[in-house]
Amino acid sequence: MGDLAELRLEGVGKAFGATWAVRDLTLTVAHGEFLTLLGPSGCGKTTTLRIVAGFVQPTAGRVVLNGRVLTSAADGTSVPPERRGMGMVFQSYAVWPHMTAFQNVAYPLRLRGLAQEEVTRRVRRALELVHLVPFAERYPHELSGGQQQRIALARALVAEPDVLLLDEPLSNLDARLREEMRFEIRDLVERLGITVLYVTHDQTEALSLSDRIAVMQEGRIVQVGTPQEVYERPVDPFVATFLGAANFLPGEVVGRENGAVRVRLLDEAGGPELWISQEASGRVLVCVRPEAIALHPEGPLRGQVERCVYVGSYLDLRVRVGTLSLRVQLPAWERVRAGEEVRLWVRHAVLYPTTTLTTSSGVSAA
Amino acid sequence: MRTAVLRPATPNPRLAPWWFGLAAAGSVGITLLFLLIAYPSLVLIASAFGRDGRPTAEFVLAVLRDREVYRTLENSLLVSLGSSLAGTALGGVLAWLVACTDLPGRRLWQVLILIPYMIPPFIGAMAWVYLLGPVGWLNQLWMAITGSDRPLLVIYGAGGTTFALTVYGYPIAYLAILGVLERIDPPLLEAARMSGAGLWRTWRDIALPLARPGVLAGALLLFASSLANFGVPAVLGFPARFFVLPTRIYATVLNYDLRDNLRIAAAMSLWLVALAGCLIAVEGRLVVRERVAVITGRLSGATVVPLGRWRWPVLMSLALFVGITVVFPVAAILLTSLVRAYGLLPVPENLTLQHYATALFRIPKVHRAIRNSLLLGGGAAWGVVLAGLALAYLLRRGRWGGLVRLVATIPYAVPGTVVALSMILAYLRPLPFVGIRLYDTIWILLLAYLSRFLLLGLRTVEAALTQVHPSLEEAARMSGARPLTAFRDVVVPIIRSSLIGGWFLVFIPAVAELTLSALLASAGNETIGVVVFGLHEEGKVALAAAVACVVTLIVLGIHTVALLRGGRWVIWRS
Repeated sequence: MGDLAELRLEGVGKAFGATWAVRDLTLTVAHGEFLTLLGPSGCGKTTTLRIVAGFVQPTAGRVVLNGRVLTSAADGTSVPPERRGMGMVFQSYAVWPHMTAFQNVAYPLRLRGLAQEEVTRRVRRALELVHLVPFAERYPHELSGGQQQRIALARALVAEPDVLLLDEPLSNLDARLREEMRFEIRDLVERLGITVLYVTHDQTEALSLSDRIAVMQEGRIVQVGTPQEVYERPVDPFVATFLGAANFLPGEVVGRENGAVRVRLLDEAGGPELWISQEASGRVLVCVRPEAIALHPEGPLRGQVERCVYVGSYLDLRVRVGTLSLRVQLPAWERVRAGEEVRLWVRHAVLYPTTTLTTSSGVSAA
Repeated sequence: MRTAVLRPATPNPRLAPWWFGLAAAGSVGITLLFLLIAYPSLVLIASAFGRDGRPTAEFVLAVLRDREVYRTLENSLLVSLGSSLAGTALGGVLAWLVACTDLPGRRLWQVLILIPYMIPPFIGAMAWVYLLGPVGWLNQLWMAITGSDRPLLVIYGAGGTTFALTVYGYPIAYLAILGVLERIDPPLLEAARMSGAGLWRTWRDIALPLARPGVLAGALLLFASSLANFGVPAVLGFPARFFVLPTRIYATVLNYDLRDNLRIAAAMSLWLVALAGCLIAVEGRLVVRERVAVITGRLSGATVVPLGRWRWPVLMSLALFVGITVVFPVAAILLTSLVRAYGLLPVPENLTLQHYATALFRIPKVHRAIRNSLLLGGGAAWGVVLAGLALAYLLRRGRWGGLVRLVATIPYAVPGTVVALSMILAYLRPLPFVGIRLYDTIWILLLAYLSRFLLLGLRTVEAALTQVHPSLEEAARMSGARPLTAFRDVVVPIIRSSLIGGWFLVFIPAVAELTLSALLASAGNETIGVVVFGLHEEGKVALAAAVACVVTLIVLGIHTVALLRGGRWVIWRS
């Protein structure tokens, strides 16, 4: 595939009338990196992707690929999409209905004026990558959604682009196929070492595919980091809930030692206390993921199991601790019943100043 | 708590009549199909192949041997082919400009482009006679300027007919092509850009092939429509003794001196029936090919073609085009209806409203015809929508769909002149048993309209029904509604706006109808189209123009109402 590319977005903004779909967005996708724009619908992630593709001219900022300015709002530069050396997979696949699978994949090569044998060879190789060789002569309407998606993928890759753009490519597939395609895309991209910009609203997709995730909210990037970073150290409650279920408990810092703080949870009884390795002071919001809570005979939290649901891979519990209600996920082998008294231990938590979240306390699930 | 909720819903006795209604609707529907379509069609064929109950090839052979008929056939094919090619090219370019470029003032052009569609074609043809007839306004102007004693151009004959059919037919192709262009999913084009194709390459390799089925369908529709058109070749052909099949059949039916004229006309109709059959076959093949999924979506900034420096030339050409197709003809009709006598200079002292006064207040049949046309149009529209509902409902649960649909297609696919002839042949004599004679009454017109437009109702309802997910009706059934109750309470309200659209789809062409009424209207039962055509044929030019103006106003008014009600332009072929 082509040279690994560094893609830079510098202060990119896009206004539709008076509303800004994307605001002052700066981001660098490194050579061969898989970066995902993650956010709820309407957060500007697709607009950002379309700015990179060249379908949308931004109101502000620049897009630079390997030092070459592709788009610049300031001087009106806009390299047309076909000359950016990128490949793209669309949400609706956009597989051309009047061409066979082979013809669809061959089209980018034909445009580049390659000789017939060369086209055939490379299309075959692209179809092999996506396991579609036996279906080469079929028309899209004779193929399943997953197969059409693979054609779209092969078509986007066949011309060996510097950058691959994917716009929610899995959202039209059913759950099982989605999982399968997720692994396949990851494998393919790793093998080709290509730079990828991926857009999705599905946190599982983002976490399992990406080298880094940029979480977007209302046109801005609120956090960029590896999947572990954004999942375990979300910068604010929004990111925390968007990436997975989380408990938010009101607390107060009552002591500190070696870079860790002692937090007392605020319930009527004056509450249990936890040690959390993070700097903070005063009133805080304690964010605890359900799976970060475990049973422990001497755990600081004493509670009563209100509800216990067996989900196969884990137990989903609601535990009342004083006046607080906690969502807890335990390994499926634990034997717990509703009504039982349990003692719990918090393995990992994140603290936020209380000002960041005024509306929610107790359980919040994504 | 004991409530009735847990009991299975008991049949509501109040609804029982609806169940009988279903059976009644079914039998009425089948009877109508027979009376409206099957019986007349059979009589037409029997008349062409037999006399007094004995089979004979006499008439068919006479038609097959008649050189005149071949010349007429050739005329028909040439005129239809010409107007279909020209109209498709025009419609294609216009649709592309409107849908895919940054043409300024798109909305305005969209309306202007469709105005010719709202003018009944035979009135449009009359307008061109006023412009380019031997003493037409433009020819007079030419002779006055050049001092020549010969007109510049006389519109009568093959060329003029083709021209008028093109000008009043191209919107059919335009709408068909616009339909596919607007349904191309933008990512399909964007994917080509990402593959490395420039804008023009994208259009050539992706958009054009996707639009091809629409272009072919449009061309075919236009061909069928031109082939079936009676009004235009009647107005522009008769003076030059230029005949096409529909006008030849019309003339044969009215030629009382010719022995067995109706049977000969029936035999001649077989040509049109055969052609219509071919068209349906080709259409069917097209539909099969058109499995390509084109989905909804608006073209985005990156796929819209910028006109650039072609902007002004394009705008000028469009303005000129609208001038020729709309402004000139409308002005010609208005002018002709306002000058004291056709041919006088249109200076203020020659202008008068007297023709309108005469037409509207002195000639009783004008009054009567307007009333008849509105009543017939309304009756046909209601009948067609209700019959469409009943048939669609029956088809959804029955398995006679293919046959019913085929039967309903016949009078729509076959030119109106043939439908009218089959009605004459079927109902000229009193009905058996009841002894009522429908010919010479207004009822035969209603029958003919119903038969001709039935397919529109069926298609409208069926298309609307595909938008209603079966689960909606199933939810009503699970709530305890019987099939017909569910249909009435859930399905009909959902498709209500489509039904209104279907109503106008029938009402509009029926009000200005000429083809069927020209053969079926009798004294006292005239329609407005027949009155205008009659006045024109009698040479009462100014009166004809005045009534034509009134008709055009009425039709434009109905169009406006239909559009304001949120209707959409739908393709109708005359």
